[in-house]
Amino acid sequence: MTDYIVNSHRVGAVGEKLKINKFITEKVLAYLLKAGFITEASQAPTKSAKTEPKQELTEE
Amino acid sequence: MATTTSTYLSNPDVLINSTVSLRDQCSAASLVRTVEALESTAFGDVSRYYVGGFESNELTLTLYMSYSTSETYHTLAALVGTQFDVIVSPSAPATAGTYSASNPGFKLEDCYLASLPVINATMGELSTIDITIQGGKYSVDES
Repeated sequence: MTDYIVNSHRVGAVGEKLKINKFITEKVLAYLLKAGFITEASQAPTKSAKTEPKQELTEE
Repeated sequence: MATTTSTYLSNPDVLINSTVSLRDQCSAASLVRTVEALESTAFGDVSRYYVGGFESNELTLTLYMSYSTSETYHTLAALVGTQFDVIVSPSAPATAGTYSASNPGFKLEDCYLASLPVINATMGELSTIDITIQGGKYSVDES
């Protein structure tokens, strides 16, 4: 089962997993994804994700 | 003297798709349940008679417009031209989704938003929009 990460205070604590209850139907999930309120866990950045150092562009 | 009327100050709740509350952006809500009247008067009758036809419900909301993430515009933009659910209640339930006889949740299921004013700007005023949500199956949650 896919996990979803909350992006908006309107649907829960931001950054945490969406709590699935009887109201979270397929239709509701589709809406929340479309409106950007949640993202699939696999697509959301995690706290442990390492960031690559920025490469500065230099003109030669 | 009326002692059991309802005075609305800041209590009502508007819940989109059972998850997204627009309470903090809404300043007026009016849900009217209508059952279309089909005339059934026949010869011999001396009064007009009607029977119930389709339900044709309508919810109008006045909302402050905000384009910030998760606010009015982004919440509604994804609903235009789609079917969704909405619940309006006299007060926000203490526990999400839990309503009662004294705080019923008036629900429209699979209702429809045909149009959304994307900008309504007047100099010197807070921007508000009025939307009309049509149709849907009406029910009352008092459980």
